[in-house]
Amino acid sequence: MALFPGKDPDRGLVQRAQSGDKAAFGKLVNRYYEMVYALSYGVLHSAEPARDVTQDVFLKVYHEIVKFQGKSKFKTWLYRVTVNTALDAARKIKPATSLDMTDASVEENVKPVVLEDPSPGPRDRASGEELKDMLKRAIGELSPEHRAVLTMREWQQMSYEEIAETLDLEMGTVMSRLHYARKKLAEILKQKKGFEKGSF
Amino acid sequence: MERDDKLIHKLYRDSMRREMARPEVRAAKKAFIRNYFEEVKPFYHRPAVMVPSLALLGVLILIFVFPRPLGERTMRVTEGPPALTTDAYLEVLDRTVDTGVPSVQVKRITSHVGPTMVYQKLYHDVPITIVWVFPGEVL
Repeated sequence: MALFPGKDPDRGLVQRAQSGDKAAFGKLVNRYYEMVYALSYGVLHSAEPARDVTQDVFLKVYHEIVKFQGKSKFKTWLYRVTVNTALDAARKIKPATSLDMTDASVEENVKPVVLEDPSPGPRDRASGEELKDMLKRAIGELSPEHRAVLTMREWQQMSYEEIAETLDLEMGTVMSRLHYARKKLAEILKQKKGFEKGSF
Repeated sequence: MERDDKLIHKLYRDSMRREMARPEVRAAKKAFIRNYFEEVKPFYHRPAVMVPSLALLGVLILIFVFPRPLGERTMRVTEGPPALTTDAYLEVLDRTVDTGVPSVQVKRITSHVGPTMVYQKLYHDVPITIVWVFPGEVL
């Protein structure tokens, strides 16, 4: 099954790039740079490695584009290469990262948490920056795999099916990871809120 | 839980939006495309070659297409004493022709049209070009 069914809008540029047209590939880079960077940043949670991974992805794809047969869309292929490259980079940065925490048994132990609306009111407008920092730290505590799913769903707004196909996972696994990531984020934010009472 | 999910969604998108709006991201994209995938222009399209070439072309056009300004040597001739006369002979088609114009002492010549005036006229059915140069006063 191919993501985003229908004709591949990048076909013309891909064919030109396959015949050695560097400028045509430059147009593809121009079109998808933000998408690749956002996904890399989402996984790595750091700007500089994300920039390096983004460049690695495009250089890798440029050198491999001759092998691209068009069975899936170029964008889908690019997503896959990006996620794999970003996860590899994350493992090199933090080799001990594990997905064990995604086990259903563990998920069940995570108690439901309720967050308050962080919209800035007259009293706590100044706490907005603190909340941003909290969220940043909370995302940093997730595994790269969870961050990948979270970014694809929350930022790229991909369907569960699209995420499953891109990551080569079962749809249930995608839903489970997403559920866990959201719950974990809410829990971390709540804990931090409790720790810094009144900052929300 | 749905409320939490919405909140996480909002917070997460805000966080990503801030990251993506950083000028460094745009700058890195621009530099990356320029360094790796920009079409290499022929050497003569580079400013270091193009600008002097265009300048040289301009000079050549000025030299060959537009009339050259009068040289200093010509100016010296016309800067002679005010006793300029029309007592002269024209050399036309290798023949010396008497102008038949009586000598006239000219003490001062002024111009309303600029420092030079060029026109053609027939002289004994021969077209001649007359060039007036006014090195002195121009009104």
